[in-house]
Amino acid sequence: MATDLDPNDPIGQRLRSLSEPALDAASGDAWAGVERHRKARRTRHVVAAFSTVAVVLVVAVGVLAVQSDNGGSHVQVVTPSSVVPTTVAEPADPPIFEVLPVAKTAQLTVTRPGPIPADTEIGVELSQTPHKVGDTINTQMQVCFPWADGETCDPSVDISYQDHSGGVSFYRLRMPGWVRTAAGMASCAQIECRIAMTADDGTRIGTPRLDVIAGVAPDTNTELVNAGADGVVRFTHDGFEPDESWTRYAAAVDEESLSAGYTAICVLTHRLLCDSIVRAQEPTLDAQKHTVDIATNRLLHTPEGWIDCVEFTCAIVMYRTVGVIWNEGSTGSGQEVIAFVPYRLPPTTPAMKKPTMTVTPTENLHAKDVVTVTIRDLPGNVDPIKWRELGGIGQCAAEDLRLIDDCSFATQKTFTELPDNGLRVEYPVRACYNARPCYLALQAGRKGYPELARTETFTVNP
Amino acid sequence: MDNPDTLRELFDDEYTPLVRLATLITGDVAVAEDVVQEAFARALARWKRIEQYDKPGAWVRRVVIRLAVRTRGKRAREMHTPVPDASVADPAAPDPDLLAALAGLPPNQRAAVVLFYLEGFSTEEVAEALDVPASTARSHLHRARTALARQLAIPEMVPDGN
Repeated sequence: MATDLDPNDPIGQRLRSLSEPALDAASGDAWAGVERHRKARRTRHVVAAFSTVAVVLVVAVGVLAVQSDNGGSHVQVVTPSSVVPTTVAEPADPPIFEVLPVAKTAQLTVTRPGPIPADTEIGVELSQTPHKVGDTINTQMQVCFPWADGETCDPSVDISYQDHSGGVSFYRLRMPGWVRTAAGMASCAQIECRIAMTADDGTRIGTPRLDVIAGVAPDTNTELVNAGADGVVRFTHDGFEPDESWTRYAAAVDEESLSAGYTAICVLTHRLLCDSIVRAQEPTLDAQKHTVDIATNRLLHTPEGWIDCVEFTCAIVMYRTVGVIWNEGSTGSGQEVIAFVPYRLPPTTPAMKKPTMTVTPTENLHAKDVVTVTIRDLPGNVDPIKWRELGGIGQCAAEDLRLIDDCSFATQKTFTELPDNGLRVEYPVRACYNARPCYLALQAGRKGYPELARTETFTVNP
Repeated sequence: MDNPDTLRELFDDEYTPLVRLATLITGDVAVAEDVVQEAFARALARWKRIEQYDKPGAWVRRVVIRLAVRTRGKRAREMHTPVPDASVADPAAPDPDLLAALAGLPPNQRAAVVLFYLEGFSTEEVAEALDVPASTARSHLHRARTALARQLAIPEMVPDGN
């Protein structure tokens, strides 16, 4: 009896004597398959669900330099053993912020019968009954899948509105074979992807589960190395290049005036809720491999307020500038997501306080009186003086600044740094709008975000 | 071929044997072709760098193995040749009994056998390719050998008491 593993045992000899089996595919057809795979890899651009390739004015992006320990990213030659693996979703679903209810199968139909090969362009039809969708252009339709006891969606897959006729709205998308999840890439052939959206009355509606031929897992070209209790997230990315339109612009006009891409720190859910505070360094898009360290905060300041990256899955998201067009005086461009790196900070990450803001006095105030504003517990990784550039202190009255931003801004004197790392500034108040109680708010400087901190309300007499 | 002038030459030389290797691992010809084409597409994207290596073909081979191992057990649902029923041997295939016996193995055991016997991997290398502990890789190999020995009537390879 042979119990030791011997590659030259009778089985090994018999295996090696196998002659080439007859294969149905001719080599000529096979090379066309290679070209097809290559095209699918090049055009596997994922567009952030909330960003359209529309013309927007370019503003200078102020970035904070975050230096890694070795003084910058380093180039590493990719060797066969360092081919970046693609992570397949694990059975346990990491917690995400805001799990959606499972959509009922209604009102959405896919025009192409299954099975659907990955990267095939398909149409989706939306009917308006029984649950109405008034804004068919801006209401987000997404590729969704089961998560925990509900559903979530891949925020990077773009589904675009095309037209409507006879009460039916038409959409198109390139159906992915694999979706981005908080646990990494997952195959639609395994996790039962579908198309879904939220109707005006809050009901989730969707297609049946789609029969998708997922194909080979795509290479994400990124890998999380570590997410430490100090908030530093280290990851690698490899092979990313600038968009051709940016390259033409940089060569013809000015490479420094428009960044080739940027990096955001976001909470990963069915939509990307990105941090307003930490502006990570621009990604180096030179097709080489880079190791990047980003110093994040435990709490991200998002459109949904402060969210904890110990409790929920967050992600480093890399964007690339695309569709650059320019003429004298103006430049327009869009963005597309090129990489996600999900992470969670460990439970040992120190608790982070939310910033607070107080004002004195709050009684008997008249217009042009000067009050003293004190801000404490500002998050780390941001130069305190930059607060003024981020958004500044405004005098506001609206309950929810995400909906109505009615803040007015006064010229402020320089912030004074306090021994406890707080900031203090003198602020001249004006009459509150419509004689309502008002407050001072430290704003994030980004539309759709709540304030970072606000004072108690006070009244100001004319 | 050690130093192909172009990727296309490498492809013409290596495509068929790589598809055979991937077929043995995945159990499905069309999935194997998909895997090999994907590997060459990746090589094409990096060819300027890869062609500098001593053996560019080895790079492609490793990618094929990695992709095939990752997709082992997953069956494409287009018009593909299904994994052959282990109880039915195709008399036209070379050594149909061996192929049928291989096809009857669970995917991890099949991949382990192919990597160990055909690719010359050590048990540690098999473990790394399958992303399992070394002891698990050895267990896969032992069980696969026993199963193949029984099916192929190689009594000296069947452990005592079985």
